[in-house]
Amino acid sequence: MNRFLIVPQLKIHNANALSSPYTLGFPAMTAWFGGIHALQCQLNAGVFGSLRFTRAAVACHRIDLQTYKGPGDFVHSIVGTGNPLDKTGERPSFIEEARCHLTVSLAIEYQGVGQDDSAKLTQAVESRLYQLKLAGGDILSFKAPETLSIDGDNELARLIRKLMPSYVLQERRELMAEAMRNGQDAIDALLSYLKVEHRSRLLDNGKGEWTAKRKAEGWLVPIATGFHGITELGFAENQRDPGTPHRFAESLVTLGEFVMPYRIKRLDDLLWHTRYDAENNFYLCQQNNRS
Amino acid sequence: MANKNNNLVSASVLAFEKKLVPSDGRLYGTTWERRVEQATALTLQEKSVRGTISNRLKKALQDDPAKLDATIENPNPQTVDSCALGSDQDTLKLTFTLKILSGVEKPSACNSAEFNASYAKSAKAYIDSEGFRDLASRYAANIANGRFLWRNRVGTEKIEVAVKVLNQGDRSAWLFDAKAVSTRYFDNPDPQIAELAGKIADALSGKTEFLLLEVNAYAQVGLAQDVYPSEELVLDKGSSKSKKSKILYEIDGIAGMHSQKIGNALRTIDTWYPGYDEAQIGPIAIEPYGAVTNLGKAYRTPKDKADFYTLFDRFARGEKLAENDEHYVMAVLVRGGVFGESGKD
Repeated sequence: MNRFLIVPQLKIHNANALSSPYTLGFPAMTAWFGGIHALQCQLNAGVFGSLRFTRAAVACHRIDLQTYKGPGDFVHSIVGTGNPLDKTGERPSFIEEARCHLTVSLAIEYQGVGQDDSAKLTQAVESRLYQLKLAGGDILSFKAPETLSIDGDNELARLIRKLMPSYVLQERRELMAEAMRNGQDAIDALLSYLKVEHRSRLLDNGKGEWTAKRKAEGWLVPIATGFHGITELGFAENQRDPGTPHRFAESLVTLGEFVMPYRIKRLDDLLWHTRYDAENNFYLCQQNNRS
Repeated sequence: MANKNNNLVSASVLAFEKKLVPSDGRLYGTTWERRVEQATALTLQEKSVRGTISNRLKKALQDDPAKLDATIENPNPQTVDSCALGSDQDTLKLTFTLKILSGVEKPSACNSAEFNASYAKSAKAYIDSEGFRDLASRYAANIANGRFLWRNRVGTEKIEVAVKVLNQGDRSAWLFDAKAVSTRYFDNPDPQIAELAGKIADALSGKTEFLLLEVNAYAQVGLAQDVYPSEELVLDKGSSKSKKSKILYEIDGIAGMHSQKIGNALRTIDTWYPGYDEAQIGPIAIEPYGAVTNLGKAYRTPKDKADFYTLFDRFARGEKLAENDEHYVMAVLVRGGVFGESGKD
């Protein structure tokens, strides 16, 4: 039996739209898990001491990226925010930060709370959520959270129905792995899946025909899925929490694909979880890939 | 990092989340008579106008009539966004929600336990003695007087602000005649404002978990008049000739007012800054340096020892501030921000 906490139609305002250090779009998976983990910690501190959020899916109904493209412009530009004057009354320099407004539904798999307490859980979640931030944005509203128990992949459709219509992210790390096995370096591999190739073909009547194609089918996007520790655990000056060992890290960027949830046949392809790989110093948000 | 004043450690990572969380405002058009029953969403329109040359000309041009004529004949086409009521509408409806949270005594990030403990003590003392009553009544007045309408407030016949509590099990609602509530002074005897202020104070000081308000403002601005949504800040519009010189904000095709702009109006409660009497501009927005953007001036400078950081350092280390300074410090924390001290000095 898989138990789910579902938060439908969460409206988030001015969320951080960095989907990886290099790209703008849907907020990174790490940002969502940060919020989900914070929610768990707050509930743990209350009466749900043994509650664990094990896996989660984020279904995106709508995203409104705060960018602007005028007529004739080649690229989009970020819509900025004006910051208050500094102490001398001068305008401070602009910091370009990408923001987005979005509507998502969360499906969080949980353990450690019995069926009888599910009403208490949804109530607690509802009041905690109003005080939380998600992906750096403000939560403006959401529909009443509910719980759902399903029997693994057999009853997956019952969960999917709650999330439609939307897009969910699937990890497509295997595309990267394959390209890199064939000798491409990481950034080439990433770009080769993102670029659109325009080709012309000569037709019989002497005219040409242009086609545009990507290397692989599907809505592929670059995503950040975690961090790679690049120093030993230790202490740094002015670190955020003096009680916890600190480590410098860089982002792990790979490919993901947006798919409509009804295409998904296995829970493993829908849900993400976090994992710490001590051997390689990886802090990962990942799916259970078959590879 | 030993501090200069006393040997308390300061926090190099210190941040507070905002406690007044407004949504974007959406603009609708309606008529005053039927303002509650029906409203249609206002959309942005693109206008191309032929501008006239009206800027100050160079000396050489002023003295040469022929060249002046040539300059003025030169067309100056501009494309701008605009937004106006429909030809049968005389009333603007602005709607947004406002969430009010507690927890000012807890920074969202702080890397010094010692600082945190000493700050929390001061903050708790403030909450216990003041309970945010004074601040809340000022926030409530700014909701009631419709200050968040900004330019749309100017030159209106009538303004009505309807406030409704959205929390489950609370059916409170209020109706304010915004024109009757001063935007310059906060000594409002209105019992309705006091009631709203009580709810806000309870939420800020943690007596209730949170407060969610829906605000609908109706401003009778006149048939088919222009209204003013927020302008977007696009720095790098590209080099295309046909670029727009003014881009307005819209949400799903509805003209919108930025949440930041609404937030700034709600926190325009600072009457405690130095030079309040001489400046004759009434309350200014709560900002760490008392910045007023349209005047290009900061009213609370570190030189006067009236800026937030000077006062906050004293407050957080347990020193007793003047009552007004204390209100100001707490109002900045309600606003939120990143206030860490650089580890370099």
